[in-house]
Amino acid sequence: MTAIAEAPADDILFRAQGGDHDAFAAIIEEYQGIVFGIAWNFLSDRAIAEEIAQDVFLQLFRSIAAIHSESHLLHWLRQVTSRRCIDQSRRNILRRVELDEADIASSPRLQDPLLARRLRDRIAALPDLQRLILTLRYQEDLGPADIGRTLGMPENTVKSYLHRALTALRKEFQ
Amino acid sequence: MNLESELKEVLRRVDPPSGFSKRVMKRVEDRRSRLSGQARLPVLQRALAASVLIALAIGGWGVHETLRARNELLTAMRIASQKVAHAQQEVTRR
Repeated sequence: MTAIAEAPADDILFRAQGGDHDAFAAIIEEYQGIVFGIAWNFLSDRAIAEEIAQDVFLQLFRSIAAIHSESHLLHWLRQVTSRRCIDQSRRNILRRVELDEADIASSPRLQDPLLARRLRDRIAALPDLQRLILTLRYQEDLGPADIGRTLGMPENTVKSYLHRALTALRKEFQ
Repeated sequence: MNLESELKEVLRRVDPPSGFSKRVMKRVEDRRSRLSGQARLPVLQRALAASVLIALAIGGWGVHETLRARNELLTAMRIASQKVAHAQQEVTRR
């Protein structure tokens, strides 16, 4: 496993494509924070976020032959996770849960846990697309063009959603 | 408050609960074994169908042989009957 962890990402990808399960497990370890993070930040529900993240990696296992590079893998994971989050929300089985205090308190960089909680609550109340775009913008540090490619929408539409989301948040927090 | 930096902090990447990759790999293995089970099914079905066909063929051949033997016996009896009738006619004529 150590050898796999130290191997270049493209090499791990090619090994996983050849049926190497250790390599596929290494891919999961490497990208789970992105996939689970998007689902968790969008849904605010650990159980559903885990279910979605598992489904995304199962789908990756089936589709891994079609992935041709590490950057393609990253784009694919963000795109499939985003679609599954939107689908989940549309199925209207999203269960709103109280935020786990431990999630907020566990961050050593957080200045004000209460403010973070309020901010999270306010983000959770945003419309789906605004919330997803916000997640891709700040979790993944993507620009509007990349978000547009991920979600299959024009860059200007992304900018518009982002602007509306930030305006709503600024109104409350500044 | 710097909203952008707060958003980066609040919307950071989050690892799933520990053992996540093992849980996914278990589902991968379950799926693989289920699919290989499904792949074996047609082989079993083909073997079963072949067995039925062989049984029918053997049964059919058996029936055919029985009928053939019956027909041969009837023919032999008919010939014997004709010969007896002919002999009777000869005896009666003399």
